[in-house]
Amino acid sequence: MGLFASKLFSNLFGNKEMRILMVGLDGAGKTTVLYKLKLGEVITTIPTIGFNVETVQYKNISFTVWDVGGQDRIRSLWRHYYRNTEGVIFVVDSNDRSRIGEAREVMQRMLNEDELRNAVWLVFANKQDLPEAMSAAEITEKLGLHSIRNRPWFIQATCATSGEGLYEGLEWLSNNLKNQS
Amino acid sequence: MFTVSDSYQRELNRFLDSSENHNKCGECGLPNPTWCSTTYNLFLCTRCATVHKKILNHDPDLSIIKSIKLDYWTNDELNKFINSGGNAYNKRFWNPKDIKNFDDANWENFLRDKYILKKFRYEQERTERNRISSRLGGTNKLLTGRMAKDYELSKYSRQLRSLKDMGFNDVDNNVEALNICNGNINKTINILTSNERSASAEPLPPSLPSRPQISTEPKPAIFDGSSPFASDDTSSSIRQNGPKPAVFDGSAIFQPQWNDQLSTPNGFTGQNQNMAPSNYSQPPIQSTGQIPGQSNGFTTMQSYPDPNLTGSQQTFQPQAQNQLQYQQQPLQTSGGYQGQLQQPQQFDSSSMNSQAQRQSNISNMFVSQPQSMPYNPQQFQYQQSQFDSNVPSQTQPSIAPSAVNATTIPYGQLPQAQYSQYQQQYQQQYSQQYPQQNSSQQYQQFP
Repeated sequence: MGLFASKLFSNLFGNKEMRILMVGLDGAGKTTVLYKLKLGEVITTIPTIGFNVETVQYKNISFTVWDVGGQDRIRSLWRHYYRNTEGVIFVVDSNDRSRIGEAREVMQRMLNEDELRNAVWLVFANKQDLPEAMSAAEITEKLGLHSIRNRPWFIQATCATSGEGLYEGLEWLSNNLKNQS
Repeated sequence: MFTVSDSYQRELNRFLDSSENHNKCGECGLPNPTWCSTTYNLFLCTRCATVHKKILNHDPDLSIIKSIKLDYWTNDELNKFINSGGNAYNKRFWNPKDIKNFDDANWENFLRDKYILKKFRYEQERTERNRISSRLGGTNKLLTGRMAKDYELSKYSRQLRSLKDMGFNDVDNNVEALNICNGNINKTINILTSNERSASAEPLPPSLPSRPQISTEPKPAIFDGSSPFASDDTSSSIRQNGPKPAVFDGSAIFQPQWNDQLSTPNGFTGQNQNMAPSNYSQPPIQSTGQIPGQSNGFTTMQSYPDPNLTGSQQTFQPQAQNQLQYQQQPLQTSGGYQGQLQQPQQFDSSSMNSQAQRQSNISNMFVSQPQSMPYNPQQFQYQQSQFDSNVPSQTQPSIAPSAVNATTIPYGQLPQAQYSQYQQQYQQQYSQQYPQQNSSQQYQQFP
């Protein structure tokens, strides 16, 4: 009852929480995105084994962002983070044309997960600063985003090292959270 | 759970423990590496894997990092990796000069030099530089030095910041190079370093009016501008004034550039192939006395960004003329005088890219050693101490500019009277500076 009251209270004053799961292939830049959002600076990351979690305040919403490692073998652990996830950020390395197909497979498998059926879908086309990076439109096509019918989705071109596009992504997430609740 | 790949795991572990890899990180030597690069074929510790990912992050230098335990391996990948030769082959291929990095904070620059600039290879660096200069019209000077425009500053703000962190402080040059490379920072660094090299190869200020004109003997065909470095006036004039071994007349046809050392008959070894353009244009006489083993041993001892790198190495940094001076001015006796002559020249120890030049100059020192002056490490030490304490800039007398000019005069062309005049002035100045010391003995007394 107390919990309910405090939640109601914070909802009345517009403070909301959103649980976000950030996934993607290894080396896509998930940890860099997370700490750019959290600290505003680019840190030198090491490949994530396990996960990082940070809360990021944006406008009146506090995002709890879970960043899980993307190596092949630990992708099977992602499913343990699915429950109660309201939004998924799928980070793609725009410069890695050779593995965009693998990214598509991984993403389509996740889209079919039952526990994620209510999650909104945000794709970060990361590493846009690199000269041969694919555009957001190209990635949309290669990931097959247009085939998503049952949920809102959005693709945002980003550059984690400069921070471009990151808050636009959060903006979209916050808008869609409002729509749902 | 991982039954399918258990056999992969065994294979990988066996390869990791093999004599090629010794269960060590191929970059830093840390034991028990957990990552590997399947493009550069070596095992990596977590730190080095991170640096690989950060620096070698796109074509053509892309380094694909895989975890030994956390990634799945296809059969092809596994076979290719296991048969690659591992750390040992990587070192033979990318770092045959066996240059080591002892500065833990500097791994990014080290790996950039190793893989992107290919500084530690004998062949590759030269072709890389030629490729850039030919793309930019074959000129020696890569950048025009124009002013940066406002929109470019904002467009490349991020890259400019990181370039500044790396020690490239000339914003105009940085912007221009970034523009050429379309924002690609690795290519930009390539251009900037080449530009730096060519800038340091530029001729010194004009010499004294008494200097005789360049000799009128016909130029060999190899200097007719086909070489990207042929525009280096000063050094080519020295080249022509210096004696030429007869052997060059015959081989000149087959030598497009002086730096084609593989075909140089005089015992140039691969050691000198990392030379800056200014050094490429040395007269061949310098190479005649070289004993390959000598410079070889010396360069191998050289560590990468050695914090103790002082004295002899840095003082000799900028121009090839410095070395020539030693051979070609038999009048010189005083080490203190020599030190003063060299002071006004450009000196930039902060540049990470002067490494190659320093290194090659060291071996040149050895080369020129037996011919006129005995090599005296204390003397060089002394010169360095002057740089450090900024003495010259404060006590430089009004004759300094002409003294600069004196350094450009090649081979015995400074009139005796003029020379002794300088010498007197400098000796006076020195006795004022160091009253307790006799100017001719200074360098020997210096600890």
